[in-house]
Amino acid sequence: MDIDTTRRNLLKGILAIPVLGALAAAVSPLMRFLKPTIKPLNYLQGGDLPRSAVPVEIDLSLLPNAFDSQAFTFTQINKEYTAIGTQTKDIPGYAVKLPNGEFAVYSRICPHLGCVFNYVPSPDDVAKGYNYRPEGPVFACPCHLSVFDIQQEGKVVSGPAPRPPRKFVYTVENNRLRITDLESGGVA
Amino acid sequence: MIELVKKSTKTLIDKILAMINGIDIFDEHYADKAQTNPWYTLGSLVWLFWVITMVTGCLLMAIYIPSISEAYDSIVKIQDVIPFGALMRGVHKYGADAVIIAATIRLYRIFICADYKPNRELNVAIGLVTLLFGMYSGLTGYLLIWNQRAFWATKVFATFPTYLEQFYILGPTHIGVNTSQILLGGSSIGQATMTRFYGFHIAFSLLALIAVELYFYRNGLKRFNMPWKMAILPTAMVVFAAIALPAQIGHRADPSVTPLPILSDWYFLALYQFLKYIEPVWATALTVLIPLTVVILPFLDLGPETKIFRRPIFFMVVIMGFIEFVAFSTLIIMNIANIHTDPPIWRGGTWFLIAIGVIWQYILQKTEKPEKMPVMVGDFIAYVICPLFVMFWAFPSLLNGFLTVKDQLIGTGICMVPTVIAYTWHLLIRKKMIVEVTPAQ
Repeated sequence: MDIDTTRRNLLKGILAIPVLGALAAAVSPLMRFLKPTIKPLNYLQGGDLPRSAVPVEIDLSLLPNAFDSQAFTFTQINKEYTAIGTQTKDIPGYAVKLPNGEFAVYSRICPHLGCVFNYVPSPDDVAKGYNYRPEGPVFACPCHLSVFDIQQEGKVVSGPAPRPPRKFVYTVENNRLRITDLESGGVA
Repeated sequence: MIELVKKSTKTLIDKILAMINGIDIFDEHYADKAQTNPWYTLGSLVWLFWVITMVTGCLLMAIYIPSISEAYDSIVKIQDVIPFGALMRGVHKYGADAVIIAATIRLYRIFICADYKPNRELNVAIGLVTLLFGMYSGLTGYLLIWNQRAFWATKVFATFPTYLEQFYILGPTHIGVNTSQILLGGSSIGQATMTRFYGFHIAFSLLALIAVELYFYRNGLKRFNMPWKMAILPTAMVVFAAIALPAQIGHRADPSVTPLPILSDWYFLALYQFLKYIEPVWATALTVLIPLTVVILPFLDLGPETKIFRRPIFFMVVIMGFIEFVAFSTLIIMNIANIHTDPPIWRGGTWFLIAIGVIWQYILQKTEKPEKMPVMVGDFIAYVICPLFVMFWAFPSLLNGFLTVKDQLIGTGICMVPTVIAYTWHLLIRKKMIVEVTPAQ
């Protein structure tokens, strides 16, 4: 490549910046082509949130004792920028009975980078595999070794996760656990 | 004063123009050197492997079905049933790996041989962009198989930008979440993700190839800086690899089961280990900062020296990068990590290696050019005290999860102080001394 070393050429080159900027401004509404859910001229709009589909019901006779757990899947409808427009997605979850009679109902999708974590009832197993010895049963993610204490509202007790896992909204009716919604965030 | 501004502006303009004239994309300006030194054929090899990958990719498009329910089966069919399917897929995969290997070694060569001197600093950025293009094509490419590795690697990759939401100025713009959703084509991984990745996988390579071909054509440059018959050997290597080690398929993607250990393609492995060790916000920031550092490094290498052992700081940076890449990749494959005790070792080790380089540089200079006392003392502060100071502060505090703006600024500021002192010293005082001393000799 041979460009003459003149100021004229450099100035021409620098002129490219405002020209490209103007072009980018003119073309920017086309960002809506890649993300059609953005309202016109509303570039600072947040992400699209999934919608909950059918509630899940769990019979409480499946959880008689403290620290009994039940895995379930919760269906959500996600936006998809294709001709179809939506996509149903199964979110894996855990319901665990706590010693005080409450329930810990969490999405199994790790808030760190989206792996699916496990319920590990034995502190020995956690100590072996996750560099941490907890007090009782915990949720533990095998990918990056985050450990969440179910008795402290899912507090991160070890590992890189920035926050507790996402909670499900639930009610207890007629001896059944009815799960209706999920706290938003993360990538499913 | 005005004279000085005029003069420095002119120097800057000349420098920028000289750098633009020094652009070299695939070592096309090193045809003579390539005759005797095989390392200078690496750029041509990148181009050759790229074209091989493009050709086999276009052939694979004839059979492959880009749909989440059919993709995996179509890959199995290509591999097991279609005549020459396994060969085409193998050559495509190993050709792409070869692009990344050649581009990486080439980047190391640029640093070790100081090919960015004089006025070729932009070539480091170009070499890096080539490598990142290759890695992005790899990432979009292996999702198309729709196997476990692809699915979970994509999930990690797409969750990454969402951490931008936690930064002060970028957070409220929602740039992170929007980037993630535009990449995925929705709020979750699905058909739109595959369609988008398939489109970008082809489009980026195709557009870049057209641009590069135009560049070669307009400037009348040779694409391949060795005799064409030499292309047989690397091509044969890739074909041999495709036959000897059939490309793997893995297990079909299952969104409810995370594989253990979670792995990506080999060139992202080190980054995955790195993710275990540090807070996700810092991981996101550093993933952007590492390539930026690579681009800035050649501008910090002052002076005409090109031999690697006469530039010990850069030698140690190259060594550090290589050691950490190999060590992190090995550790994640063997699934070894202690997230509480390991990070300080790695952090300390990184700064230790760089400090060795800085102190080595100091010793080199002092033994060769014994100087006056004030220069000695100043250099001792810049090259020995400052690195130790940086190490002291960097060990416990940097990257330990400062999240408030104040803490971020203080942490960065403290670590910048010695660096700024060192380079101001180097640039101003030393240069002045040299100018004063030279005429007397």
